[in-house]
Amino acid sequence: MKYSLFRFIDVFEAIASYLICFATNLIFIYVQTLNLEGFSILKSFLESMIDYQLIINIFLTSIIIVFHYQFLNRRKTEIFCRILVGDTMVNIIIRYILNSLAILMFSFLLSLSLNFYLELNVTSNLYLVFIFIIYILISAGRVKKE
Amino acid sequence: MRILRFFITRIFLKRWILVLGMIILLFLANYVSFSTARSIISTFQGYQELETLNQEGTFVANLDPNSEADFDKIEIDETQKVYEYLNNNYTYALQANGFVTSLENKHNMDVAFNYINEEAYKINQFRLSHGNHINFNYKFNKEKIPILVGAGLAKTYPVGSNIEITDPVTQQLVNLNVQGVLEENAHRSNFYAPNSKTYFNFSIFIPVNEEFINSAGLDLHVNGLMDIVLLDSTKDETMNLKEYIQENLGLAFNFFNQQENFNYFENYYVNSLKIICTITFILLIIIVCLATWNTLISIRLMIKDFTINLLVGLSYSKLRAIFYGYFGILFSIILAVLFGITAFNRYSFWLRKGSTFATYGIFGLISLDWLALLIVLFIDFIIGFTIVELTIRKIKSIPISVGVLQ
Repeated sequence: MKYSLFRFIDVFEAIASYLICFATNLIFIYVQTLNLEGFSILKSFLESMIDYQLIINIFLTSIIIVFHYQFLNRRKTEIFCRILVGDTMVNIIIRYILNSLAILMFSFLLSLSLNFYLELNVTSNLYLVFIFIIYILISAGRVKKE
Repeated sequence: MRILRFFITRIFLKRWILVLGMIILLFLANYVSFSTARSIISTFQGYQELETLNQEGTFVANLDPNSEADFDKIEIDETQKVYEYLNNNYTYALQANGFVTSLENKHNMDVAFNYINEEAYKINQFRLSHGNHINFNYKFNKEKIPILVGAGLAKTYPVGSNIEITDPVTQQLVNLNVQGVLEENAHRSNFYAPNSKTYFNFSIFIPVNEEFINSAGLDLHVNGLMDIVLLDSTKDETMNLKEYIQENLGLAFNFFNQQENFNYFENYYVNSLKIICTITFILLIIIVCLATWNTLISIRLMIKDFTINLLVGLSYSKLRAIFYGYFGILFSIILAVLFGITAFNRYSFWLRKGSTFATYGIFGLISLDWLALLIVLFIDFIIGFTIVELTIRKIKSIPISVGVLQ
């Protein structure tokens, strides 16, 4: 992560946000594997959320959008300074994409431990990874200097 | 008001992604609390209804879930014997719901025929909006059968009108006479799932007496036994009935008395509600933390605007009022969306012709939904207060000079 725009606190925030999204998705899938026959009150309560599982998951990914948005806004001055001392915009963008992808992969691998613990299919979070990659690519277009 | 509009349009909406993120998070919080509130209220209502059965000498039948029941082998003369035995030795409440028939009505809904005997009718204590209560002393096949109709059928079949139809359980042409109309949204909670309700807006209640039971088919006999309630009985008597049913029909029934039922319900409800409340509480904490994180991020980005305004004379108390106004607007939008979704959900039962779930209410919402919305509003106040106070504290902790330098 040499010359990275990310500080430790940003990496931490990003990992925490990714893990919240991954964990929510896994918990939804896990709850469906539970046998709740005979617990009708609990079952109907959980069903009221499981029915909208996809929408809730996608809604939650908005925290990743918020993260990228605020991060790039706060780094505008830094990007300006870097260009002043000889860095190029292309390099900054490529480094941003690679760093973001690295953080995403690290979070995904961390979430796999929850997959194994709950004995769920390892591919269950892949669609979220795909969505997050799209977010990263879109946000790369917003890397701007002040 | 002008300053609030200025802040919303010039400062908050300039970073609309953060506002949208906030709306989404708060919506999730509201949806979770709404679902929980509805579950709890509905369970509580069901519990109150069932409490009438928690009386000395009342036993509720329940098909043993561990036994294997072979309904194909049951013959009509065997069930008739069981009912004869019941009539001679017990006082019992019988109610068999949901025999769906097509009967012409204004809303083109399927109509459910519900069969009820006098004891069950007394327990239910239905309230009527028009007409009189039904009597059970009619002569089957000789007199018109007095019936009650649900509120949805009242216009097509007002009090005094007659309906000629082939009855689904006796398969005979019967002449029904409308005696009364049930109140809107009359309902009954399920014995073993008190949060689920069957609404009787498109139902017809047919009084059942001994003569009727004798003429009825196997469907009513078996269905009626499933939820039968013995009144003024003893444990020994229920054991006799249990053996008699087992001997004749091969079905294993359990009869739970007041104390057993009470313990079961108490355990079942309290534990389920505890789990639901814990889940909701944890989810709300997580969502509120995320919402606070979102607000703190917004402050980081907007601190320049805030400090400039503070510098030119905006007081912290006014800023607090602006934040309360802003969150008030956000919560109003979210509550309106939640209201819309609920109303659509209720309306979708009408569209799908789900006659046992179709309900009447202001804007399609029934009292249960309004109460749940009220609870959500209260929770919103707490969330709003927490976030705004944290935000103001954060803004106060940033010296004005730092803000201006940014």
